[in-house]
Amino acid sequence: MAEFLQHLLNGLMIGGIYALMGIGLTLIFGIMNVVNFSHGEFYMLGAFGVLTLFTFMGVPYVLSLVLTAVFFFMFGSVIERLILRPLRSQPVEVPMLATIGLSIFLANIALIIWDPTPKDIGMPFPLVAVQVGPVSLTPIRLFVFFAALVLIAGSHLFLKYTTLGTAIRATFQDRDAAALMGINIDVVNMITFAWGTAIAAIAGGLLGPIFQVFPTMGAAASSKSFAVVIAGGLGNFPGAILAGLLLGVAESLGAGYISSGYRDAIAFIMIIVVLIFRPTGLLGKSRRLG
Amino acid sequence: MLQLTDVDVYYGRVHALKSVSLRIEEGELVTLVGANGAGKSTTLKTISGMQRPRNGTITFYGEDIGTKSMEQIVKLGIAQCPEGRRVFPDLTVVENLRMGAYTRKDKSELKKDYDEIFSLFPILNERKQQSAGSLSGGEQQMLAIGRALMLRPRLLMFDEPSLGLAPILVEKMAEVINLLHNRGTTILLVEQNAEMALRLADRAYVLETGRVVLEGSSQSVLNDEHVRSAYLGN
Ligand SMILES: Nc1ncnc2c1ncn2[C@@H]1O[C@H](COP(=O)(O)OP(=O)(O)OP(=O)(O)O)[C@@H](O)[C@H]1O
Ligand SMILES: [Mg+2]
Repeated sequence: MAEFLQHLLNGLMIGGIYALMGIGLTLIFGIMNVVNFSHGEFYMLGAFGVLTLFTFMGVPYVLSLVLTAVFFFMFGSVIERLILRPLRSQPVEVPMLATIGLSIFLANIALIIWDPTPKDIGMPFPLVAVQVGPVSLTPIRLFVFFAALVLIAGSHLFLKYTTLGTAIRATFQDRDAAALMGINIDVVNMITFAWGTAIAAIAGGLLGPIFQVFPTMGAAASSKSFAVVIAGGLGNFPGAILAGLLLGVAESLGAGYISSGYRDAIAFIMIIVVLIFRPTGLLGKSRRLG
Repeated sequence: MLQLTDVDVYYGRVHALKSVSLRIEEGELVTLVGANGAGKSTTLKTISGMQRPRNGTITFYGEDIGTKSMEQIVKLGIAQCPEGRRVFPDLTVVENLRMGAYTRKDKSELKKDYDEIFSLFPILNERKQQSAGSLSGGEQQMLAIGRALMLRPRLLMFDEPSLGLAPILVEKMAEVINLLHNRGTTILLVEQNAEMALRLADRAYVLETGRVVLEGSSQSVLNDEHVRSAYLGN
């Protein structure tokens, strides 16, 4: 029982990160109709951002995360403006190919700057485990889980209760009608992409201290994000949260009880199972926001 | 206030508007009638900036708006209540209304506008927190009108507000449009229901395959032999 709870909690922590990756990717798809293959590279670069600031330069961990988020928000805006906006009237595969190109470019830039050897960010918090009943939790894992929770809740509150958030939802539901309200679709796209980029970078910075950091780590992160988006239903915000948490828990239980070799296969098993039994995603109706 | 001069609009190779000229004066209710595919919606889309004229000019209070962005055009006070209503289905009634006022700077004034819209359409007040997608067709049309009114538009354009509604609701829409007109709102009304439109309007334009074939006071258009046989069924 204690072991099961331990796996469950570890799974929820990783799942929170998958959910973060998933909501960004699913909104970028839902609002911009862009299938973003660089999402994993934004995650990888976020981890390297924290490595550089925290490990190499001695900036406090939380401040490193904030600075990384701000930088990648701007970086995402620039990518939207320079690469995606000019391709907006093209068929969906054109911007998709552009993001594949971008992901290769970014992974190689990281190889040049940081070389291929995996690096340790180091522990930002004391390593002592907190014993809660039968399970033990390390401060970093607790921090990661609550940070993911706060970011997901914050994104939800922003979309639900601010005027700009409501405009983003309106654009998601009917782009032409939104434009008729005077909502600037370019601005909505830019903010959505920048926000998705920043949140993927934070996800990398959060998981960085728990695993190792290396330039090709984005590929696995991308494929898991896609698993989450597909299982949750394309463009489905609550679906992505649910699928992210489920994937984290399933991986953790699968690795614990079957074999850790299966960990990365579970994402694909999840996609196949969901597509067979609930082809429009876990929550049924695809494309839902709010 | 609004003037289109020799406007040509294309969808790819489809020549949808052919040298269309029309004008609307402040406080007028002008209607655009015509059959399916005549170019009525295209005219409204072009005024809103959703389609661009290839040739010709569009001015609003003397200012050229033919190259302005949709956002800038809305900010000038041109609202459109589009064909098929196009309310945001997963937003609540109030959120839909809020989107209508998206570009307005005087957000503290909005309360007054909500109250006014709710007194015009009490049913919307009852359904305030419901999602727009759960409303009936007539209620959605009321919401679409309310949403357009939230801009406090200087020019309000309706695209087929009676489409798909039961006769009693068509009558209700006609009353509302008439009321708004009497309050001094400038209105451009597009209708296939030429009967209703000509009854409400001061002046009318008749579009056929992208061309203005007739214009004049509603009365003179109503009396036109061709219009009577083609659009009024007598
Ligand atoms: N997106 C589009 N792409 C290509 N052609 C279009 C498009 N929209 C409209 N058209 C064509 O332009 C012409 C005018 O269409 P428009 O929608 O303006 O007509 P309408 O008068 O509003 O008709 P309706 O009464 O059916 O609403 C039609 O021939 C139509 O087929
Ligand atoms: Mg039409």
